[in-house]
Amino acid sequence: MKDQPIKTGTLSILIVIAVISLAVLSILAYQTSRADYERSREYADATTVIYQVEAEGESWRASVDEVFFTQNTSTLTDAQLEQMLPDGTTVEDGVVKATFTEPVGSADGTATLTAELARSGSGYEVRTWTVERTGARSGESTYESIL
Amino acid sequence: MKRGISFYIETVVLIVMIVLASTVLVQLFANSASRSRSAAQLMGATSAARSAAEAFSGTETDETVARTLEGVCLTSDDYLSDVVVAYFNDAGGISTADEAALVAVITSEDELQTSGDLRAAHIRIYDASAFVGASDTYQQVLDRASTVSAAYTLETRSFVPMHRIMFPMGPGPVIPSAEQESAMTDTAGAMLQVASAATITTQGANAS
Repeated sequence: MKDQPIKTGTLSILIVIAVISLAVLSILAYQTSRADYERSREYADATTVIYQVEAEGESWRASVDEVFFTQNTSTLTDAQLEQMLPDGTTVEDGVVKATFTEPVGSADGTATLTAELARSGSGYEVRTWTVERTGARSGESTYESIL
Repeated sequence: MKRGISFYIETVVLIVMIVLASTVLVQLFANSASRSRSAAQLMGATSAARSAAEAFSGTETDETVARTLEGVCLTSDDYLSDVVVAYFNDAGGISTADEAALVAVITSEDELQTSGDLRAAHIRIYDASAFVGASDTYQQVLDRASTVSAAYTLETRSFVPMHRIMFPMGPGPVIPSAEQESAMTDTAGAMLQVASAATITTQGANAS
């Protein structure tokens, strides 16, 4: 027992294996946290842009509503009505339509709001109000207006 | 037990290697933990901002926004401006002030027009720790909000038509179609006939 040499080589190998394992674990943890952060950033950017196109749509709707409220639109043809509405608005078959598109991030597609208002007498009803995401993470959300 | 010079060299090399590796790995793990916390906070803040934006879109006044989010609406000393303060947990769900991880500060502007009100909201989400003891008055909230950086900000707009301003609790007027109007007129006419017949009968009964 007295003459048995201390086996430092085995200990070194064990420590090297432990360090390598920890290094791999730390790299994986770092990659995961980075991916989590990028996902969060992307979600935040997409939310900002989606609400930006929503805001553009609401401003547009306010302008359209002002025309319907102040003018007697029931006697107007679609073409006549289109001339009174904001730029980028089309009126076809009694449907007032506009789309608003904004880019999401630098290379992550777009968010597009499609708004359609159906003429009804001297007023209108919201027929479509859809936000669609194109690009890396596509999706669509809609709501039915209470109007 | 004899220990040669190679043992000591190997031991020193191992210790140096362990110290170096530990330093690098601890930094990497700390960086990962910090980034994960930032990611979770940003995700929660974004969800909280979305909730606030939806509450803003679905209501007509700052008071109703505050009520929907179970927050408070603070008014300026001159009674001209409001700020809504709402509290959220770290996942973006509505929370109480005591348990909140995030604080939403919502200011809004009204652009009145003939047909309604185009409202614009500026929603800022902060770490709740920055607002401890500073959310009692309108001025306190605005002062703190201007000095602390927000975790996330969101701008949104909502158009409130005139009928929703005048009748905020109801769904708004329903304009009947020509067929519905005709059916309603027929029904009303029938009801009037029944009512007048009943009146005549009652009068007749009274007379007798």
